Amino acid sequence: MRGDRLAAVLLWGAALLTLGVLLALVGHVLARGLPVVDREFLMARPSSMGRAGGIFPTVVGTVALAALAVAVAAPLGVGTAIYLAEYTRRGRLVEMIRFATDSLAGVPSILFGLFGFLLFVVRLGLGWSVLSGGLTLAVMILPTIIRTAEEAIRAVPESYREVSYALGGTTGQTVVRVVLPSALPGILTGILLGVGRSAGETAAVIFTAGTALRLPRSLLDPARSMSVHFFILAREGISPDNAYGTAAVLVLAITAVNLTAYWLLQRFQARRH
Amino acid sequence: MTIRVEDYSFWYGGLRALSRVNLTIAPGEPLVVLGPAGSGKTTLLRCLNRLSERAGDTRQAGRILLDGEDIRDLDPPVLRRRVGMVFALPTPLPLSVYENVAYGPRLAGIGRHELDARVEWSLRAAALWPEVEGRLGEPAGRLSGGQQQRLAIARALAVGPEVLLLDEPTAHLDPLSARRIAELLWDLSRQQAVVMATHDPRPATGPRARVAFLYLGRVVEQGPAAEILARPRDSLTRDFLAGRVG
Amino acid sequence: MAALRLAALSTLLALVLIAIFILAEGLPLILHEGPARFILGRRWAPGDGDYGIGNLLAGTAWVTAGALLIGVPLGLSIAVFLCEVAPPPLAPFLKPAVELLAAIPSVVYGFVGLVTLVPLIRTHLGGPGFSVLACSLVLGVMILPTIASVTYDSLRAVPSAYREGSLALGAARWQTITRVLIPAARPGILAGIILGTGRALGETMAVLMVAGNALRAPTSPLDPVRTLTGNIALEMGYAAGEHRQALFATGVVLFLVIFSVNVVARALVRGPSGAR
Repeated sequence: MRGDRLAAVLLWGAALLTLGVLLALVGHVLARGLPVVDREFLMARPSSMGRAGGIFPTVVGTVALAALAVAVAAPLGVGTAIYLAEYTRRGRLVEMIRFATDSLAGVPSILFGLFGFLLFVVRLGLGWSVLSGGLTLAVMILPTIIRTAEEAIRAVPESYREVSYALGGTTGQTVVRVVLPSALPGILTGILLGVGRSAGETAAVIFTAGTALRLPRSLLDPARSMSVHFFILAREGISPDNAYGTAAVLVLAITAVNLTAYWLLQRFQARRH
Repeated sequence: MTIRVEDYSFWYGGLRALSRVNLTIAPGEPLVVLGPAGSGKTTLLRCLNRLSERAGDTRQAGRILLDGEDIRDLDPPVLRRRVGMVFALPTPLPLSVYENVAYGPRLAGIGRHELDARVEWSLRAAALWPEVEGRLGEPAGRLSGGQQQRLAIARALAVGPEVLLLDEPTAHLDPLSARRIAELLWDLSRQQAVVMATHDPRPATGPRARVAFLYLGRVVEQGPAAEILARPRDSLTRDFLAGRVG
Repeated sequence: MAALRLAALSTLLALVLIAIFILAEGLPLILHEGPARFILGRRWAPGDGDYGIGNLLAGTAWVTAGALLIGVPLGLSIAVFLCEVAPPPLAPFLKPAVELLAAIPSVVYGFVGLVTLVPLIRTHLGGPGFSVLACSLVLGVMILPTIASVTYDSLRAVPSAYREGSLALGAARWQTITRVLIPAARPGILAGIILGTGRALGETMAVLMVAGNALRAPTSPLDPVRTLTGNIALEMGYAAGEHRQALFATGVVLFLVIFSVNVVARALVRGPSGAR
């Protein structure tokens, strides 16, 4: 029983340490960053490379990149999940798709950056642009969306499908009218996680969307995301205050997105049991 | 409408679930498929609307003819509109009462103006209308177990099937609800071809019913309910009715 | 249906394209230099046309090992804590907290490490502060959620009969955890550690900011270090010609290492029987 006591102390220690690290991390960024953040900071253009002024173009850039990534990855990912869960049983192709999805999930973001640079920026001639960056991010978040969507679709009770088929439903009708509505919270969770990952990503974006501080006005304009902006400000020591401010906005936004995703998933699972 | 099952066998993988079944289902003669758990009743019903094929790795031999046409030549959705089904567990879809009943008609492309009348007619036919008339917009999950099962019947009727399959429709209900459903079914069977699977011979005593006793995937004997239940020819049937096998 | 199959092929297509593009750009240089010289060579001097990533590989190995030293015990502890020990009011906070840890952008980790850990190490332990140790601490926290969540899932998947059986035989809770639960969940735990390793190997921005990025191979945890990923990120901005190819060649090595790591993790999760 002495072992029990020691183990409990260690486990509690680990848990409190982890919570402490999270709180310290977020607390540090918010404590230093929030005082800088106001409406002006969010809505104003930066001046002298971000030393002064606001971060408006980077907010727009981040939103545009994440929106494009999700707009491309969500249909592909949910489509893949439907195909895997509703249309196929076992098979060579399914095995290969699963293998590719798992492997893609493990590819580090810098390699997505290199790939996006070679394919979109250079080969397809899209240049450093919202389009190149968004497409790169789409490839990156695809596995997350596929996995969560497939899990959510598989969790829909088989009896719902049976009822729909027994009433003369085709597979398509059953998927659209019964399966997807029931799986929607889980699917949205995956999409939100994808939004969060896109917004926080740096390495994949910096080589594909570029670092231009102008306000992007079209998909073919280069864009600097908040995380890239933060990286440049921090690394080049341009303005600690504005760096912290940017980080605070980024952390708050990502926390909000992720907690929403978590809450949705909990509600979804609670309903199932 | 007549369904003829001819020398029909069905396998799940290597497991033979039905073995050379021969049956005729004619209008006006409700058929009760009687048998202990695992005798193949559910499989037989699911073969009649080809829901059995969803299991993957299945095999079949023999034929099932719907008005002379092999059901394998029919598109499954079209077949299932003609051969409706109610499951053992009342399974409301996560929709309102109204939308549950309207589900099938909508799939079949029934227009909006016809839908209200169709829903009301089906709910009346399932003897549920007076209880849900004022709560059509409520989630169907809020209905009681017996109401949910009548909703499932209304939902199946709403598609206008030529025959209605019911798989142990009262198995999960309290005795009172179960009796209501049984009475409803005998009423329905006046206008509607009905096939009901059950392990319980009691509700099978409708006056016009035929009984087919199924054991280990084989039809042991069949005939008018009054005859089979009162004077079974086969010793297996006798043992089952006396509660000695099951 | 056809559209869905097409969608389903997207990940396969993406993986193949990534492999092709990076290989096509990087492989010629590796072959030209000779794989042995490229991988084992200790001099990286693009100006002189010297491309040896030996020191970078060593740097990545140091940093990854350090991250595992920190992340594995913490990640496992968190998972066991959440599964077996956490009192009900705490668990609902800790689990999203761990997931949030995974969502915080790596640049934020790097920056906070830069302003807190680096000066701390410099004043108390010596050296420049930018070091293997700083990288390991930052990365250890970053891979903790991966290890914790995969371990948590596999612990949860252990049938509760095992747990109750062990406790019913009079085993203490700690004995039950170490002798029954952890062995039963071992494949999943290993997979979690390997996935965490993959994350540590591939992490770029956070490491870059606290590593110091010196081209020498570190000899102590307090030495600065440059990793494969850091090297790519640092030099991509201005590299051209052969130099850029060399960076893609570094990417090829990184891709192959991580790909094999993931294949091993996948085999472990599925187990020898192939069941999930």
